[in-house]
This record gives sequence, C-alpha cells and structure tokens, in this order.
Amino acid sequence: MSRDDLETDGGVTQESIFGTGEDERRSRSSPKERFGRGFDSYVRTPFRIAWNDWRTRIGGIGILIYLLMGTVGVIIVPAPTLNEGPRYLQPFQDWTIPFGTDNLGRGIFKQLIHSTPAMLKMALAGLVFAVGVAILFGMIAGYKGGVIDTVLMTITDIFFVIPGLPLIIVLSAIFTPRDPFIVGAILSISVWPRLARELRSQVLSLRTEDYVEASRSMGLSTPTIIGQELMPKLAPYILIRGSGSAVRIIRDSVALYFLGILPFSTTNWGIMMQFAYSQGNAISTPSHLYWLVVPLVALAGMGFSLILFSQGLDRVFNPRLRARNTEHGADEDGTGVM
Amino acid sequence: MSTDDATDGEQHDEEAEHADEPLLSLSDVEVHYDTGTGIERYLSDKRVKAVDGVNLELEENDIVVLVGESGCGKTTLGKSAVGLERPTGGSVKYRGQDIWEAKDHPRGADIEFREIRRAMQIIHQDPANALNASRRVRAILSDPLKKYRTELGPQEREETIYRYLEYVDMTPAEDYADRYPHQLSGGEKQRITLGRALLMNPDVILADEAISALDVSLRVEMMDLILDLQETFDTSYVFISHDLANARYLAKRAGGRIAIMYLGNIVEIGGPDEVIQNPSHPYTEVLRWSTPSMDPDVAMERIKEKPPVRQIDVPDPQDPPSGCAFHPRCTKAREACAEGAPELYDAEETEAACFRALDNHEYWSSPELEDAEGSGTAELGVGD
Amino acid sequence: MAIDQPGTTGTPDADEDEPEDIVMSVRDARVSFDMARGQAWVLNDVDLDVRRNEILAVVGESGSGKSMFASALLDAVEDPGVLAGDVTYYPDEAAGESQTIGSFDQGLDDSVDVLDLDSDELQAFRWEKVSMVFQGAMNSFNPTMKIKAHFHETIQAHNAVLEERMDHVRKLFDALYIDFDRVMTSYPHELSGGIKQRTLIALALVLEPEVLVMDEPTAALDLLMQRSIISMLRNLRDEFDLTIVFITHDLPLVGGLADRIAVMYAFEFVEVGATRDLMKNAAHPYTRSLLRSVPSINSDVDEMEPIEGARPDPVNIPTGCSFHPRCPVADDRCEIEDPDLAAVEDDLQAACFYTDQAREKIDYTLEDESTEDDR
Repeated sequence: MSRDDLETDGGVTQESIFGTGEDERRSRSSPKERFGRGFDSYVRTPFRIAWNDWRTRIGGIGILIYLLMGTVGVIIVPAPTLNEGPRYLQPFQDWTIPFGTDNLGRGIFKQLIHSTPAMLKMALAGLVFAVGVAILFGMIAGYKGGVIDTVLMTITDIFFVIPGLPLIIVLSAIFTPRDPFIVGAILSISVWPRLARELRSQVLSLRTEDYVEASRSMGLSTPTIIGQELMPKLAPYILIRGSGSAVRIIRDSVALYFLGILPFSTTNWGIMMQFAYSQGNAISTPSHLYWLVVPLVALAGMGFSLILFSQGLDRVFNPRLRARNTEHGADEDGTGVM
Repeated sequence: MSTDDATDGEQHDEEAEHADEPLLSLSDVEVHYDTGTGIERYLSDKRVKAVDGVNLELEENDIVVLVGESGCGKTTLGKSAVGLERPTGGSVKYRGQDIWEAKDHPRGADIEFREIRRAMQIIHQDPANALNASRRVRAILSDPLKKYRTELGPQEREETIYRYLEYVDMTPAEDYADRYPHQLSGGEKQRITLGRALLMNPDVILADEAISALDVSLRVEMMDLILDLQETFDTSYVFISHDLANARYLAKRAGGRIAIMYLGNIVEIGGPDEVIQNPSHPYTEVLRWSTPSMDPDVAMERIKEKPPVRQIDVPDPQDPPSGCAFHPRCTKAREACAEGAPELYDAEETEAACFRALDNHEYWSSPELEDAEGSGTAELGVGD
Repeated sequence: MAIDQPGTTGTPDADEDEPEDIVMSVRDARVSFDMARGQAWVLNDVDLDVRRNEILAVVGESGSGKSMFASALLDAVEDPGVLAGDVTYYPDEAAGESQTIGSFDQGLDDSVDVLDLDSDELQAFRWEKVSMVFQGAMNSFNPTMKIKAHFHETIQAHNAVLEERMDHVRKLFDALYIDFDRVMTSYPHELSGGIKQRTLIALALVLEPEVLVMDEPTAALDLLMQRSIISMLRNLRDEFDLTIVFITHDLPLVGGLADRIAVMYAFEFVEVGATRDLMKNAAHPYTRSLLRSVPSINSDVDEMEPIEGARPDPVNIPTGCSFHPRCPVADDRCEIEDPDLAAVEDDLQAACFYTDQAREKIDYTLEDESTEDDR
C-alpha cells in the first residue's frame, strides 16, 4: 500500500501523495494508448452498439439511401425534361421511366430524385434550428432558474401560443422564402417552443441529482455542467424528439406546398403532390393516383427511417451497453462486480 | 495549499492574517422557506424554519457529527456550512471571510470565492446517485484536477488518478479507471466519491449520511478510511447521521463532537461520551433510548420500557411549538418552557439548550403543564 | 427443546415437555433464475422451521437472500425467479371452528403445501393465514383512496364480515397507537411515514393471520419511531397470538425483540439460534465478524473491524463453504466441503466446521467495559 510513501521528512504534502511530483514525468500509458481509448470510446463503441440494433440498421440504411439520392443521385440521374415520355405514362411500364410521367411528360422518378436535396436541406435546417434553439432556451432556463428562466420561458410561451400555421403563412407572405434552408428555419417556429419546455422540465429534475450538486460544489461552470453532466442524460431524448421535429417539419412543408401557401421554386415532393392534385386531378382520377402516391411514399419512407434510426441510437448512450461493447476496461460480462 | 504560483505569496499573507480564525464559523444561521405556491406565498406568512438560529464553529482537523431525526434541519445546516445552501439570515464565515459576501462582492473579499468553493466539498449518501452513470471513473476524477490543478498535463492527471485508486485499494488502477459506476460495488463507488472531493484538497467535507447506503459490515471500513484520510490531509468533516451508534464511533475515534438537532436548532453539543452517557437535554435522552443496546439481556429489559416522550410523532415543521420547540413532547416540561426559547447553556458536561441547565431559571418555580407528565409515560399522539 | 430458557420463546403458556410447535417449515428451498452469464442462485437449499408464537429475526446484509426467503414463505417469488422445494404451513389445531375468517378452506388436512396451492387458494392463504408487509410498502397505498377504503377493499375481497373486521381493526389500532377516526378518514399523503407504516401493519393483520412476515419494516423510519414499533410488535404478538418473522439487516435492532435469530449469508442460513445464546457467544465466523463490525451505542470503538472482501455474486458463489474466502479461520477443507447446519448447543446451530476456533479467534464485545450504562 502506498501509505508507506507518506513518511516523508516531517511534513506530508498532499501534492506528493496524489500528485505526480513535477520531477517524475513518467506516465503509464502512451499518447497512442490514450488516443486509442478515446477513439474506442467515441467512435468504435457507439458504432458497434448502434449496429447491433435492428432499428438503427434499417433506419440508418434508409437515411443513407436518401442521402445518396440527394447527393450522388442528382449527379447520375439527369434532370427531368418535358416530354421525355408520353403523358401520364403508368409506373413500372417502361424501365427507363420507372415511376411513370406527369401531365407534361416529365419523369416522376427523376423529379423525385431531384427534389431530394431540397427536402434534405429543409429537414436539416429545421432540425438544427428547432433543436438548437430549444436546447439553448430550455436547458439554460431549466438549469439557471430565477429571472433568466422567467425571461426565456416567457419568450418561449409567446411563440408557443401564437398559432403556428397562420404565423407561418404570414411570414411566408412577407418573406416569400424560396431557399429550402430558410423554409426549414421558419417552419421550426412551430416546433421548438414545445421542445424547449420539455427540455426545461427534464433539466429541472436532473438539476437536483446528487452528482450535479457535486459538480456545483466543485465550482464547475454552468456550460461545463450542462455539457458534461446533463447532455449525456438528455442526448437520447433530444435525438428522438429532434428527429421527430425534422419529420414534422417536412410534413408541414409538404402540407403548405400542397395548399399552395409556400412559393414554388425548385421542385420538391410537396410541390409534386400539389401538381398531382391540381393539375392531374389525382384524387378523382384513379389512373393518375400514382403521381400523388409516389412522393407520398418517399415522404413516409424518410420519416420512418429518421425515427427508427433515432430510436435505435438511444442505446448508444446507455453506459451498461457501452461497458459491454468496449474494448477497454470491460469485464467479460460487462457487468463488473455487482 | 495554493494552486497558482503567482499568488503564492499573497495567499500566505492572507492565511497568516486569518490564521487564528476558526476554519468555519456559523453565526445565527437561519434558513427559512416560504411555503405554498403562487399567491399563497405572499398572502400567508407560514414558513418552514429548517434552520433557526444556529451557532457552530469548526476548527482545522475537527469533526462534528450532526445527529437528529428527519426534519430536524441537519441536512440543511450541513449544506449551509459548505456553501451549497444560502442562509436567509446569519452568516457563514470561512477563516473569517463571509462566503456569500465573497461571492456577491468579489472586490472587497480577502479570500476569493473560488478559493472558498474549492475548500468546501460534499460526499453524498447514495453512491449510486452521487456519480454520473454515463461517465467513467477516469472522467469523474479528472474534473477536480482540471479545475484546480491546472498546472498538470493530461499524463500527470492520469498518474494522479492512478495513485489515488491504488491508495484506496482499487487495483489494477488502469482497469478501475476505465470502469463505469455500474461496474463498481457500493463501497468502491463511495471511495470514488470521496476521491473526487479529496483531489481538490478541501478544508471541509460535508458527508451527508455517507455510510447509510453501504452494507452494515462495510460501514466501519468506510469510516476508518475517512478518518485515516483526515489524519493525512488535515481535512475537517461535518458528518450527518441519523444513527447515534455510528455518530459515536466517528466522533470518538476522531476526538470530535456530536451535535444533536431538533426542529432547526442544536439542542445539545459535546464530546461523544459526554453526550451519550450524561446528556443534559431531554431529547438526547430520547435518542439514546431509541438506540438499541447490543447486549440482549439489556435490550430485552429495555424493550418493555415506555419511551421518555409524551408524543411519538414529530410536530408539523410549519407549525412549530411556542417557546422551546421540544416542550410538547418533553416529560420534564413546565409552563416556562412554553413561554421562552432556551439557548445553548453550559451544562454538566455538554452544552444544552434547556432551562434545566441553569440553576436560577424560573423554570424551577414554574407550574407543571396541564397534561399529566407522569414518569416517562408516553401518550402516543397522532402527529401531523 | 429449551423452552424454559429465559427469553427464548415467547409462548407464555407453553408446556415444557411439548416439542416445539411449528407453524411453518421450509425444506430445500431454492430460487434460481437465468442470467445471460449463468444461472444465479438467490436462495440456496435452505431449511428452517418457524415456531408458533415466536418472533424470528432473519438477519442478513443486502444481497444475502433474506428478502427472497420472505417471498418464498408466501410463494411470492417473482418472475423470472423459480422457486423449488417445500414450504409447509401447519394450521393451529387448538384454534378450531372460530378460525374461519375469510375464504381459505384448508379442509381436513393438518398441513398445507403452500407451493401446491392454485392462485385462488393462494390469494386466500396470503392475507388470512400468512400475511406480509413488504419493504417500502408504505409507499404503495393507493393515493386516491382513503385509508378506510383500503381496509374495506381487503375485507370484501376475502368475503369477510365487514363490521366484525372493523371492530378488530379498532383493537389493532389501539395496540399500534393510531387514532382510528382520524386516520380512517385521511388520504395516505396526509399521514406521516410512521403512521403509514403502523397502518400497514394493521392492514396486514385485519384478517387475523397466524403468521406475519415483515421485510425491513422500519428501515425508512426515524430512530424513535423504529424503536416504538419494535415495542408495539412485541405487544401485538402477545395480544393477538401471532408469529412474527422479521427480516432486517440491522442486528442490534432485533436484540431485544426476537426470540430466535437466523443469520443468512450468501443465500443460506449460516447460524440459527436463541437470541441470547447467539448474540452473547455466536458460533459461526460470519456472525462473529458481523458482531465485531457493527458499532453500537456502547461498543468498544477501538475493537471494531470490518469484514474483509466483498459479498458473493449469485452466479459465482464460492465452492465449499461460501464464506471461506473471507473467513479468518478457514482452511483447505472449507474450500471443498460445504458445511450443513449442525447443533452447537441446545438451541444454537451453525454451518461451520470450526466453531471452536471461531470463538477463540474472533473476539467481540457487546459492552464497552470502560463506560457504564447508567439509567
């Protein structure tokens, strides 16, 4: 036992017990080992855990497909042109035009692919804004309390209470956003207040935990505590709600395009559906239905993938699974002494 | 004990100035909560006086064990002492420096709040909750080092952590450092909590029921470790316990004091033998009676006795009794006890907040209370 | 057996020549469940008799299997645990016809195989013959129902006569010092912990069971309340002819209450005996080490010593005697052979080969010689 080390000359300095002593620069693990540990901790283990869950696998593949559609697909598949095929060609007839054509003879499949970047941009903007603002407002308000809490929550409540749809309609009329990023950002207004409030209540209950009190007692700063203690606990929640928000924003955008409220620029699935409805009379004309259904399915598929993926991802934050799947420091069964 | 070389000289001067101040000094500390929500808070003046005018001094290398039942205010008092709870009245001074003054008005402070913050730490009761389950031991123990030993590089920090783990018999240290809290036993978790506090080199540690969640046979081990580290590091402890037997063990081994609390006040304080063998406050006698003896013959005799209180249940903290807070349950109470509130007086071997400690108090000539007092018979009431 | 020793049994009118009257007996009880890393045994072939009208304390640290034992007495082991073995209940022959409160029909047998009962019979058995107060149960009152409703619900569920039972509850409340009128009309959240716990004890006794099993009933309560409830239990036993099985980790707590103590370690009983004999001069090394490691109000603080090592993992119980890795008197034999409970004295059994050495080597004192107990 190193208690024997304590018998120094008269005084025992605390530093020399637990300190390294500045004259001994030895260390037990090389920087390479430490990097290996970090990599394992932040990259390999999460990936392994995530891959083990069927939800993450399927959802992840789904998202990957959409990403590919939106990036590589746009390059490979040529843009839709007028009259590249007969009008209202049914799907699965001609394999060069897999999903048929619309009223102007443009390939629906090509339209689908070329709309994807816009959808992805909207989803991303919506996600970043909704989650970002919600985290900022909700977590700080919840942790700090007092005046800050009241101010932030009052702002949140104002946005909460203003009816989302009319607000967006008015904003769209004023700003006529065409850039999908901006559309996503505006649409996030209807989503972030609820998320902020939810995060706040989560933080309120976490704030009284003993380990948070211990960190406060150590004098750690608020951003540090939020980032290091609260985030790992809230990450699963944020992921799931965040992806839910992204899905909702996409759906909202489709709805608004369908209603003709948002101005048209580049094509997107909502616009496709709008045209299918208005110009193709898809609802009353069964033979035109495919024009409506194809973008609908693409929409559903994207939402489904996002949600599955985020649900599976919440396992990554479970310390028991991390311990079991890591290469450093785990017992064989991963459960240790208890 | 300074962490920054540049201000080393200054620190020493200040320390010299404050050398003869007690480490921690609580004067007339009050922590009152308004009850009710919303409008109620303004309209009613109902308050809960969790801590009601407590004076306590703590020296270097000292131990005080706060003992009491639930609702007596011991946790609140403990947290006020280490700056985790802000008192609504009175002052808490660290080496003569009022700690909340230092926080609110940093310019005028002799000792910086950052220094005070470092000097006062806490160990919690439930080790499972005291550690963040999502972080490894290595990360948890790095926190204090990153904050206060900024001169250490990552390798040196790691080395320090390993040394601590080896010191508390958690070897191989590399293996333990990589574990998550759920991979540790209760005793091991508690040792990490202790390490987190100690690596900052604090002057005072508040141990909030730090052993109650451990297995019975491990408690002595933990207490011994704490005492051992106290000797090595000159840390003072404020212990909170609801168990008189454990309190006695700690206070006796460390040469400290036991402070008995009731409804927000310290009602008796003194050395463990004195408080337990020869208490002067009736409530201490109640606690003494409630703690079983290990000798079965003695225990079996005692079990037939009635408790030395007039009511078993504790009164509503929102509606405390007038005068001496204990008087409605006290078998020796008289009318004088309902009228005035006693302070801590020098009693036979301890200090006790009871008029009976004074020879000339009007208590002795005061009539008995209406309800029959009897000789230790308990009329078991119904509480709040 | 040893009925005439002071304080060993609480049966006031026991005939000295009668063999012990046993109300429940457990033989070869095992509880196991499958875990990913192996099969975990949380109760390991235990045998025990519960004598009628005694207060039996089952003492063990957390993870020793004591709660599992309590559950086994009522066949209440939860999935995925599987209980095997024999749990037998012997109804009181002297009681006669008047004992049919509720719907449990024991027929003409003089013993009941508890594990054999079907779920209806088991439900009747549980409140009417053997009743249990679980750990933390005071938090399981229905917050939307007044206390009175709780009692009525239980009484009606067992087809008992309401008025008659409520009269009995009055008597119980008296013995437990509870204000009947006030508490009956209150909601659970309006009552303090101590009152809730006492009310719960009354609820468990409403159908006049013979045996009351209590799992850490005083754990979350304050000192004074704990101590008061202990006294009340003794009175309840005398007044209502009960048998009490009291499960706890706190050995000093039951020194004055229990007639017999059964010590559990690693899911088995390591020592069983009369309280006085066991505490004054325990035979098993674990019991002795435990007594040496628990500070009490008048123990000698310099002689206290913790028990080295850690408690065993249910999947990985040590071979031979399960205490041997931590035992100061163990030798090679202990690693291979697992000792059974064997009589050391009249009313004291220990599962150890070396009780003499244990008594010699492991020293503990119950009183601090230097201070006096002045009252």
